[in-house]
Amino acid sequence: MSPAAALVSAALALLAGSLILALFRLLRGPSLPDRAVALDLIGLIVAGLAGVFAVTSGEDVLLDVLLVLALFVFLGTVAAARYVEHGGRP
Amino acid sequence: MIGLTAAALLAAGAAFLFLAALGLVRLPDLYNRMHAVSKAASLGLGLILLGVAMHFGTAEVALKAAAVIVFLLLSNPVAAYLLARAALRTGVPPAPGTRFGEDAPECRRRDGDDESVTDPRE
Amino acid sequence: MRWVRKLWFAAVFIGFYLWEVVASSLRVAADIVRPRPRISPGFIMVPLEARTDLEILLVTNLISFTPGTFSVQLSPDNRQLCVHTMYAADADALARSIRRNLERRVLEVLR
Repeated sequence: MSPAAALVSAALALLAGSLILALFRLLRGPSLPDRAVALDLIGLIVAGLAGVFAVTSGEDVLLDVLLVLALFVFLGTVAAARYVEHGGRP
Repeated sequence: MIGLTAAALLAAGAAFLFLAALGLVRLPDLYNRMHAVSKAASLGLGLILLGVAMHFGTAEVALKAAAVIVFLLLSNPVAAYLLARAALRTGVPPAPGTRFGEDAPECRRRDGDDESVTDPRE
Repeated sequence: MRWVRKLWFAAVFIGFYLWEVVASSLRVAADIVRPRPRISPGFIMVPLEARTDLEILLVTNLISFTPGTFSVQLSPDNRQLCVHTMYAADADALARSIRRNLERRVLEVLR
């Protein structure tokens, strides 16, 4: 295995590990904003995975996936903040 | 074939995202967790994007990567600000031992309870 | 001449800010991996000199982007900013350093 391939595998392993950690915080809570932050991070990790897959597969279309994910994560956090501020009612 | 520099950038970015996730699990309260997530995560994604741009090396990909990085730099502080303010106003408890400065009640005041608003009964 | 000065201030500011981001990133990262994080979280009030919307936006966003501090809420009259920090052991020194270093440099570039 070439050093570059090893580094990419390490990146995938780290991202998988961080997904599990973020999922733990998403399930555990305890408060609504905690879960919103966990979801925010999960979105960014998935965007990072899309970036790594774009490199391994050589498909630059995956970069568009990354772009859209980054945009939606921001929208999701803003929506969650409004939801929290209105006392859990939309 | 993946270049060594690009692979190293991807691994460094993934390491920052992992650090953010570790902070999310380990730090004591919401406000501290947001420190870990809002900065380390956008830094990590930025490094991954640099790696992607370096791997493809075309202007189109580089432009898209730059657009995402700029958007992250703009959106992350705003999202953190909104969420922290909402949490503080709805009374998400800070960790025990959190200090409040002298004018800290100001931190909890809502725009609505400005004293300048006169009571209609007076 | 004005533009040359501003450009110089902008360059100094960018150097200062990058250094600040790197240094405090390392500090926060060390506290995340340390078995018992050595943090003393707290909320502090920072009086603002920035007046226009652009100045306030830049100052609050730059504070938020430095690891270890982020802005939580502006007072209704836009004169004071509530900042949450992971290192509030010396709150006054931190507030002073935000005003003297970060805010003053931003205003030097903008005004």
